[in-house]
Amino acid sequence: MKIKDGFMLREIAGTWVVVPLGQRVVEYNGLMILNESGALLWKLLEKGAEMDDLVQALLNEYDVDEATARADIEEMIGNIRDRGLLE
Amino acid sequence: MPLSWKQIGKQLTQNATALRRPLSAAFELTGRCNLKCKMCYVTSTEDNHEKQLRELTAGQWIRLAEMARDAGVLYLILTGGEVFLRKDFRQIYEAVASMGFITQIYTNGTLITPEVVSWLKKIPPYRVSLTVYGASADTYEKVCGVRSGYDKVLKGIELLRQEGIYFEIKTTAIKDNWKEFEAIGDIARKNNARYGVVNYISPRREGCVSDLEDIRLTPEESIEYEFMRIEYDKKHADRTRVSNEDHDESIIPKIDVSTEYKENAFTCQAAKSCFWITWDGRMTPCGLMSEPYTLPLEVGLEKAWEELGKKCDDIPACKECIDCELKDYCDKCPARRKLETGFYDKPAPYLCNVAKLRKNIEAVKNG
Repeated sequence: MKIKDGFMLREIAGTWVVVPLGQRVVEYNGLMILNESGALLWKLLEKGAEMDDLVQALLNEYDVDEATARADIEEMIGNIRDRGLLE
Repeated sequence: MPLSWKQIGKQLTQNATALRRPLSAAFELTGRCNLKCKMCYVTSTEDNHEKQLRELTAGQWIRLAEMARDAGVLYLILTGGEVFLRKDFRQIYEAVASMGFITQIYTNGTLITPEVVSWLKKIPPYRVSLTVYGASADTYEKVCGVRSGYDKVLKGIELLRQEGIYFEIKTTAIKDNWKEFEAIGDIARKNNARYGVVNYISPRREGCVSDLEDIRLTPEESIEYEFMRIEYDKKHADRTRVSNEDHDESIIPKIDVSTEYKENAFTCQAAKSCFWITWDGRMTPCGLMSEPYTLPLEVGLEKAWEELGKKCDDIPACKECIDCELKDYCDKCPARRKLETGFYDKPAPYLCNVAKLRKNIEAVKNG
């Protein structure tokens, strides 16, 4: 899975914000806010990552069991897929 | 979570203001303009070479944008003067457009050509904000001193529309054009553009307009103009907006900063989460103010921002304005008071009279 080109993750006043660039401004009328773990996943998805890579990243970084991590990731992937942000 | 521009704008503004971090910036890329609007607070003529030599270079603007990005600025306005007058505007725009800002271009629209839209549409800005000064060539001659401006701006609008570049139309009301409010609104509606007004004309930031009172609306006319807007909004689905030159409420809503900054004269976000950079590279709280200022290219943008905040905290609040019974009808702006009276902390009769009359409008509106 990989995030489409044309989006930039930025930290703005302590908040992680996904900003559309160029033509994406027109297609994507709004911004997306991510929490700390969402930003971690986003950075991996920018380069391209599989479900297992994402789960492992959350397990390494947070005190969370695998089932919860997997469910959280599926929710986030669902969100960004619905918004048309995945390749 | 996905949020609308406005929802996220409010949340980010609150965060940035509480942390006193820069969130929005305006870069005044030039002080020169091809129009000669009699009420403009900054402009000099397009052939003013002395000023042109003192303008920052493209490289310097790009460096400032990089520093602004690193400091966390999200909203960036590119303004003038007239930005399309700069031969290197494309170079500046293309560099900043890929940095992750929500970018707006403020322009008079008269220099938007097929060539301009062909490169602009490749990396379109969030919005082009285009000021229309009248609904006829006669009015352009009176207001801007350039008769052909009217045809050129209509062509500019047409080109933006054809290429699908999102734009809004604004107008600035003075005695020569305020009766054309509805007719300029027709241009906006025909082009599916939102319509806004800049409803305050200040004394000039650089030098003075000696005949300002012959140019700008009287307080009574200002209020009549507000009534015209109310009537217009009743007739049309898309409501008009009131804009300031440096603050766009549609994406950066105003928030109440009075609880966090009790000792600060500003009731807006100036130098709390917003700054302005003048054509010659000074960082100021907003476009109306030539002071206090700091020098970001000399000391770095972070340090300039910090110093600017401290300088603004030293600006005295107007005690009479704080206690005034009309304060809810007034913008309570220290920059306007300074330009009107020469003092930050002295009530400005023009603004007081507008507030007094505005209170009456509210009484009428509320039945």
